[in-house]
Amino acid sequence: MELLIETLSKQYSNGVQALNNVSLNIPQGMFGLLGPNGAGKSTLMRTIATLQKADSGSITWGELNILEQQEEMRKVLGYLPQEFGVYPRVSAEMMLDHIARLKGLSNRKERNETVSALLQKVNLYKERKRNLGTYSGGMKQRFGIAQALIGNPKILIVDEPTAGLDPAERNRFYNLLSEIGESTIVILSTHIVEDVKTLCKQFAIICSGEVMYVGTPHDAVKTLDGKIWSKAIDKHEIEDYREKYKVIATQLSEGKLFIRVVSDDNPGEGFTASEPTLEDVYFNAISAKVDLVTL
Amino acid sequence: MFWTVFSFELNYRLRRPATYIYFFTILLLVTLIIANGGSPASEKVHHNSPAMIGSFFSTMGILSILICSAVMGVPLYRDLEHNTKEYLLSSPIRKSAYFWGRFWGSFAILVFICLGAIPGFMIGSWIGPLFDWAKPERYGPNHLVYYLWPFVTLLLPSLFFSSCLFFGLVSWFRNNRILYTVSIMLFILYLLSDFWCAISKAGFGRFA
Repeated sequence: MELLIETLSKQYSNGVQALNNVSLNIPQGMFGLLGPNGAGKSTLMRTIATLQKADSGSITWGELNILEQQEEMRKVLGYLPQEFGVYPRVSAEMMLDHIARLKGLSNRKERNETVSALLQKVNLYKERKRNLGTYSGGMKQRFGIAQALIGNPKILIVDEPTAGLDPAERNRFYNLLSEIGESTIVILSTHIVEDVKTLCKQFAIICSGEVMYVGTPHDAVKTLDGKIWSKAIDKHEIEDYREKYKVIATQLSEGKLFIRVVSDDNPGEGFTASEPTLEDVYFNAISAKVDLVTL
Repeated sequence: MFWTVFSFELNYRLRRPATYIYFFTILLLVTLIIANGGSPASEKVHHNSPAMIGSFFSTMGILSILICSAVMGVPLYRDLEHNTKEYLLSSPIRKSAYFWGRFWGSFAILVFICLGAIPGFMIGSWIGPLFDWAKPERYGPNHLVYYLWPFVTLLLPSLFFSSCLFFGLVSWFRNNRILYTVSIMLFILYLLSDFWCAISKAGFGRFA
């Protein structure tokens, strides 16, 4: 069953247009949301998670109208917020048990099994009796992942889930996610482009509350085939190049500045053709809204 | 759903040292007051007579405002303080179950804390004469019902009233600083009204 988001808009009281006519079809599997900070990713995810209202538009999942039937939605939802806290003087096991009860696992034996299986999955089983206040950042994050997975959610929303995880934990978590993604809608927000490429069947680029691109990572890269050109220039020449070309990336290396530009034809002037990457797609999509040259 | 929230609240509070610190503070204070013959009972009245217990518990209703604000102020504020609201409130938990589960759970803890006064009274009336702090003839027999009746009819209603006030304030203002202001204000208002009552009873003439 697909999650259908139609013409969703939200303006905050301080005038910020967080979502502007967002429409997305999110199928089963992993769906990536890419965007710079403040793009509206968290607003979109919190709206799907029934934590805030939209001004207009609709979100439906099969028969379920998510903006109206909040309680029904919460029964099938797993949500890992971008920032969250814990009760410092409660053990991980007790807290997970409580959340499992809230999610409707009333059978004690079943609940105990679920909780210990989850603790094992996120590698916290040994630390299950410790108070959450004594957990490190990474452990807290893994606790957050465990609480989101309680009760086999049908829609799983994870907002920048790998912040604070070391590379090994990150891989472990991504394996877990893709396993879950086989039978669930998983919405993953991140600003790590590489993660989207390896994990997601589909992704969307969001910037300033608008959807800039939707598709598969493979198709996205194809759109820029033969259009990416790169060149090493001197640092002070950058302004000239910015005027003449669409510069989407700059990278300093050994005193030289390597720039990447988007152009349908060979711009000459010593530019060489480059293989497009997903990062190029991302920068190209948001270049209209964000100043990418950060020198 | 209500019981889930209620029992978690109880469980959580019973693991916190603060609960027992409040309980034993009340127990100890009452023990010392009664053992020292510090009750306002006149010479021919037992320190632990039912009338004395009744007036003691009704005064305690005022004094317990401070503990009440500390106990009833935190349950809803906890999810703001520790930033657990995001994931807890996206679970299928009914507003009413969340609200009343936390309220009655905390209220049960408050009642438990105030029950500390009963063993305090009993121990006080026992060790007072034992250590010769007060005369044995100032203490009468202890019957549990002498304590339970005024507890239920005098103290419990006051506790309920102030609990509703403090719980309501936090759920409305989503801030717990308001509690301390209001509890101190209530306390001052009580002292003022007590003062005016005393004046009007004694007659203004004495102050004129």
